[in-house]
Amino acid sequence: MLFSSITFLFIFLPAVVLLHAALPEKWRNGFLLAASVAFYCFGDAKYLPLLAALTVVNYLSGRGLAAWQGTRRRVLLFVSAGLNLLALGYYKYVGMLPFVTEPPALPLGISFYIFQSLSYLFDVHAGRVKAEKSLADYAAYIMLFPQLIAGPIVRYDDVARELHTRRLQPRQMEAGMTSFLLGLASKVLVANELGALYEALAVIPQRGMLASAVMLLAYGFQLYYDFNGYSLMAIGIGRMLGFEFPKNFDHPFTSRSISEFWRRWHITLGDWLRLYIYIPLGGSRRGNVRRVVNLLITWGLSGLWHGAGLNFAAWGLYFGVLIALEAVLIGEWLERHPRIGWAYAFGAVLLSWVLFANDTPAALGGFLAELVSLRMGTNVLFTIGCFLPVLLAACLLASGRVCGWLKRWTDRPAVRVVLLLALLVLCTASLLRSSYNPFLYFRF
Amino acid sequence: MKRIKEMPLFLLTMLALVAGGVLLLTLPAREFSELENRPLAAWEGSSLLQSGFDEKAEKYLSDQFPGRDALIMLDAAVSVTLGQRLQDGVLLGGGGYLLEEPVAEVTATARSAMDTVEEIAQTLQLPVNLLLVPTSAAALPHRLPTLYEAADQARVLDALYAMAEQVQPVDSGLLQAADPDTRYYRTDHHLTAEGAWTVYAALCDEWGLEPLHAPRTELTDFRGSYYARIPDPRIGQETFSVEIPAGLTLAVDGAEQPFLREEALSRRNKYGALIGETYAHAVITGGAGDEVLLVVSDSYANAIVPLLAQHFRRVDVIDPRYYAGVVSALAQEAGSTRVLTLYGLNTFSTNRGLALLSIGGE
Repeated sequence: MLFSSITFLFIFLPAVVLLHAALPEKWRNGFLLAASVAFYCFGDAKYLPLLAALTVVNYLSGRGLAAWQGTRRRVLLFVSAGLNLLALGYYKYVGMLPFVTEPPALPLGISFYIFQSLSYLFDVHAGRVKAEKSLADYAAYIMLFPQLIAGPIVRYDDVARELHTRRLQPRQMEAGMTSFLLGLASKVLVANELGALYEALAVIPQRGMLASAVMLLAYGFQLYYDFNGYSLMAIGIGRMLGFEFPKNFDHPFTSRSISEFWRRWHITLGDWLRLYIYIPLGGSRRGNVRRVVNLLITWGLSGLWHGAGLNFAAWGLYFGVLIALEAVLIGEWLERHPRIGWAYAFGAVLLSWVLFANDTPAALGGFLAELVSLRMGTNVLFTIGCFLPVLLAACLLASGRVCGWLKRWTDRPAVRVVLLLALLVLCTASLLRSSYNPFLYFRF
Repeated sequence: MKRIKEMPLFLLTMLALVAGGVLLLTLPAREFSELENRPLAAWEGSSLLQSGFDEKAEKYLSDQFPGRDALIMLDAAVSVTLGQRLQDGVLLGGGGYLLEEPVAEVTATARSAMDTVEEIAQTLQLPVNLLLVPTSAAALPHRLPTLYEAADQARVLDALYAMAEQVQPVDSGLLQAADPDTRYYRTDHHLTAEGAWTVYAALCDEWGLEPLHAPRTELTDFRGSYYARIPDPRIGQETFSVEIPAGLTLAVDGAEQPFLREEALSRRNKYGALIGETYAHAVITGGAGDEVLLVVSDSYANAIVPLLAQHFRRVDVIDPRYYAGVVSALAQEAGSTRVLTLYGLNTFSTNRGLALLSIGGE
């Protein structure tokens, strides 16, 4: 079930939020667990046993890590983390092996809930959090439907307090609905349109430089508004249920370096990689050479997390190289020249989508050839013109300054209510239109 | 009251969502959408855990959403306001004209269709003509949206006609016609009465016949098939027009009926009232002349065959998408003396119905 679907908006969400609010506090976690299982199984329960089994294993491992000491404890961490990584490796990466012709289908949300589970195990082992005593509460944390399938990657520490005691606050629920509707509009009205622009330009033969550059812009913004939209919806639903999930995006296109970009883009993943990969490898504490190596390993793994393909690994390493360069050479210079820094960061991120979007050497070569070609395909200008308003809006809304101005307006309750309800109507209309299927010729 | 002041958006949104959900689940299900011209999804009963349940549920809830048509029209209007001039393969041009994106090249489907038409000629051993109607985008370049460059349909037509061997192509005359705006509907892919006359006159010229005008029927409140693609309510209605000679008898799939079906006249898309929408075989009798014409066509023929029928003792019209019979057997039974294949160029290039036609003759 998608958040941006009629089923979720008009059936699941109101039923769960309102019932959750109406229930006594001691029943709420159990209800959320049941609702989350229903959400996950909706239309396909095939991968529920895997999620359930890993949840039980990780819960028991957490209890063991809290109770045991010494070698037994380290072995338990190794085995439990290994089981999680084995599951992730099998379902996500086994298709990369040359002899595997029919890779298994990817279970929904596996990249997110495995990383979430690993963070729990590592935090319990490190003593940063206490192990959860209740299996139901632990399962509710892992399977919590707002963040189960697309994040943010919520560490146990972020929600431990609310998991055990949460009071539903009107202001928090209001903020949650605001966040949810903004996220919905971001996904449905902006991201989907930018995706349509990308597809429309992609089919133009010999499209040339302008079309290819606009495709990169559309692709990057589509990813942002789609992912940020989903994160905002997850955070919003979390607030309506009494949880405060961490922010996942913070105006990444205002960044003046790639390092800053990755502190603003998919923040929870960046934090996870820093805490559980980069710092344990030694971080920046062992000299520049080791620092560069650690950065390349961390970003290479980041690339692979995004997708099981060499292009994704290359994409991750691309950022690793730039971040390493900034760390040892140009970082301070960029800080002294913020405008150049912004242009460099924006351009570098834009170019990175070439690797992200093209998963074969032929596709990559074809795209690069069009990117440097001075010709212009038929109807490129017309196509861009059709989407110009939404593209301009996407650029403006990515700016922190414009968002700040908008926020001052939407802090007024009347403006917020009218604007966001209007956006809900427009989103509903757009969702219905995407299921719209007129038969031009069938009846004739 | 304090709570309402603290969470107005939450309460109002929940109210809207609950209201929507309750209406969705309690209102009687609609069976057919006139806006989309298709049956709407019905609930067949399924298990929550069954594979594909989510898609079925979403399809049903979307199709049955209260106010669906109005919301779809709202989305279309917003898209147009934001500059979208191409939606679902239809362009919004100058003067409120809706024009279908033309096919840019000779497609594999078109080649296959040409082979079928040649096979008809070889099997039936009758004179076979082929007439392909260009879309309005070719005939009305001045109506195209700014910056849009339409594919050269004349080139595609020439290339297809050059493939003909035994078949005799006929130029529709539409691309050279004066006042082309009057020949095509603004909101539909079919031809107006003037456009049908242009094609009819071209066929008469090919066959040495004197074209004859017939009494004209005009119906207002018409929004055609293209409107289903861009249902912006600001796109105005237009007048549906057709010439129907007196004294002809029409039978559709064995049942006699008038040329304009009463029960379909109240619908938005008036063209559907002309002869029929999904018929397999229509027969028109009562015309002068001794010849019998067999027409293999899509819906473009509906406005033209009444005029042609004035010159033939009998006209059989078959739509390959629905006709399950054998063409050679029909031609023999009807005593056909001539065959006309009449299609819109886009349908000829994209719809595989013609290639599935059973020609027979073994």
